[in-house]
Amino acid sequence: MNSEHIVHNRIKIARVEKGYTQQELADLVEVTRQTIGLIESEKYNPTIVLCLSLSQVLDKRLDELFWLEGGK
Amino acid sequence: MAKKIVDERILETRRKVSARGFYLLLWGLLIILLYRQFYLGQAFTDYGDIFVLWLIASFYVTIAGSLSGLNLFGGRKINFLLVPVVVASTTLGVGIYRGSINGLGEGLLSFTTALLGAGLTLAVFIQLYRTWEKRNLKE
Repeated sequence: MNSEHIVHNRIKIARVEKGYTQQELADLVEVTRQTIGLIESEKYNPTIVLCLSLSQVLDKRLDELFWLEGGK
Repeated sequence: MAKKIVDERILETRRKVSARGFYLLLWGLLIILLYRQFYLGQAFTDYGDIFVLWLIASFYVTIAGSLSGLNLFGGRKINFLLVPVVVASTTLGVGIYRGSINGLGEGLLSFTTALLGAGLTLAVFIQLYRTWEKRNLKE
């Protein structure tokens, strides 16, 4: 396990389901819109703190939102 | 007034960029020091201030790293028997280049001093790391 592992996510789907824009989601979890964009395009791996915030705001379990490559 | 956002990605990126800049400066200073010492043949008083700054920064990086749980050797197993070999070749190389070793006695004295210095420094850094390990890691 290293920091180069690719973490996949379903943030975009979950966000759209909730009807949020990237900016609205960013405001809710207190990051910038660019960070949300980079997470959605899997170019940035968020910390566990941000993952938990996103899971709270989007009403999803952590494993429904994020998984490692080779996982489900 | 807009709420100030402390974005983890921005902080991380800033830290990465700053760290790269710092190491660029640290290695750049080392190259400048070697250039001044060996190529220009300047006296220590000409570059002593840069050397002191470089030494403080290097010690800070190593000591702060050891105290924060960064193993000096990145977790790799090191053969400590190699230390005298590295010290001997460095002492010999520098001594021959500078023509400062006149005879076996002087050579041995330089080697012993350098070996003691290297051994002591390594011991201090390893002990600092072990202190961190004792405080933070429990079986």
